[in-house]
Amino acid sequence: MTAVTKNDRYMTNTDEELIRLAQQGDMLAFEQLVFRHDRKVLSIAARYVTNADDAKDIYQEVFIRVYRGLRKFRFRSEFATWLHRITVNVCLSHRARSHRSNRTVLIGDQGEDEQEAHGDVPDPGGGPDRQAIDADAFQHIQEALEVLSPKQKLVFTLRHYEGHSLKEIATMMNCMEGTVKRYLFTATRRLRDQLKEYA
Amino acid sequence: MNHKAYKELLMLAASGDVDSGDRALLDRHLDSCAECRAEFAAQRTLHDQVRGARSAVDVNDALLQEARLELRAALRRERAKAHGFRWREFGFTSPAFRLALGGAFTLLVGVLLGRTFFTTSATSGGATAEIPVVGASGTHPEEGETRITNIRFIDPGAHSGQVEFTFDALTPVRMRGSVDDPQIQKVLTHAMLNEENPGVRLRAVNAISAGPAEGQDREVKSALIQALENDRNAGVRREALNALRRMAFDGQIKKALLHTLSSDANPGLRVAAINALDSARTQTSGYDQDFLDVLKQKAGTDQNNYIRVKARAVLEEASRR
Repeated sequence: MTAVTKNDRYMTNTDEELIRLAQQGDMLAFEQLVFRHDRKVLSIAARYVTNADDAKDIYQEVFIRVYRGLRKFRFRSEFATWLHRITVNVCLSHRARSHRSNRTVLIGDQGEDEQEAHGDVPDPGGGPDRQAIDADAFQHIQEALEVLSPKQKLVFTLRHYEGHSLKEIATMMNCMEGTVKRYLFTATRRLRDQLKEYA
Repeated sequence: MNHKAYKELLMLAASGDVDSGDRALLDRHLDSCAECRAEFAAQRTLHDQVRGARSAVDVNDALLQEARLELRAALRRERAKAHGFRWREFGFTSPAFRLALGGAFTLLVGVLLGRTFFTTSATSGGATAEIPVVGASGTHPEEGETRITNIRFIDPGAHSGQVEFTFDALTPVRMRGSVDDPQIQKVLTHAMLNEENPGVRLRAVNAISAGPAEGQDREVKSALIQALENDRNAGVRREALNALRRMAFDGQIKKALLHTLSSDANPGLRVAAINALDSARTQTSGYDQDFLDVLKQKAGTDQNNYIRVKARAVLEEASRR
């Protein structure tokens, strides 16, 4: 026999029910809502930054903003859409803050010990040659992505890594689809230029 | 469709973002245009190259769990900040109370000033004071005598006959009541989370835990969890853990104990967390998978040898059952 906690009971609730409970101050309902969507948020953040601590910072900032804004959520859009829009905004403001405080760390600058301690870099497998090639390619791509503007990088990340359509990205970024397309074109062109020598 | 439009389309097609109609149109164009074929190949290479590169950050379960634990602590701080200590619940902010207390206080200040300086002046024009008022209604509050300290003269008034100074007025408030009284609990909870002196925080936790476990409400539990996770003093965290052990074990307490086991810098507290989680299985009819997962991690990586041994021992015991 396993104990059924209150949290387990919330597993069958819809997002809307959880939001309504959370709006009345039910923290367990809020937690359940977070658990349903947080992997995606962390995944977007992780693709956007270059270390685990920054990804967790973005993750935390997103859900604190959700917590603060949830009382005013009026179901005019899907919760996921609203959440992703907040994620996009936090990513963009995080990048701006990082640039201001000059805290951006290139992966190549981290010591091996630090990388291991943070668990940032998974074991790619294969022999030492394969690993060296992967690491080299990885660093080139990371550096190339860092050259893009925050919005270009975000659009490129959401499209190529998260698989969102241009329309979805436009909704998240609260702009026209044509604008997203322009960011994507520019990002692609700049990335190709950056990676030309490497290719 | 012109050549430029095809170029736009093939960039979207490279990442699979075109419908079947556009794709067929593009395929026909590619058959006849060598430049676009080369461009399409380059786009596909870029897409594959970027997609094949691993992420700078590996989003695994451990990282997600870590992020969740940190978020939980941040949310508690957020809630504590939002609620603060709710003086309104004591009725301290009602206009009638403030008027009555203000009147009494002005009278008290007048008497004290008279006693202090042994002079009453018909020409002084009366005394005014802007001092924060502290008092209590509560269950059985008793106000002690106001203590005047730290008098600072702004104008000693040697020649003008007027005098101006500031001072601190401290009024002790005594509350007496059962530990399970909600108002007593509110004051103790406030002290537990906000007092600078760790000794006071410790006594507040001790006082709360002295009451019957079933009389303690959700806010007390939440405050104890916050103390366990965030208090700077290990003694306070330890007492908070002991107090939580006396409560009915549930998901919130489990998560707080797992947080302590995973992150607390004090090895004694990590051991206490293992003991608490281990003994809680009598209430949950078996070993909890989250607990076992953290134990596995601790068995391999904890800096403290005793904790590694202890974690392995519990894991062995669990595997036998």
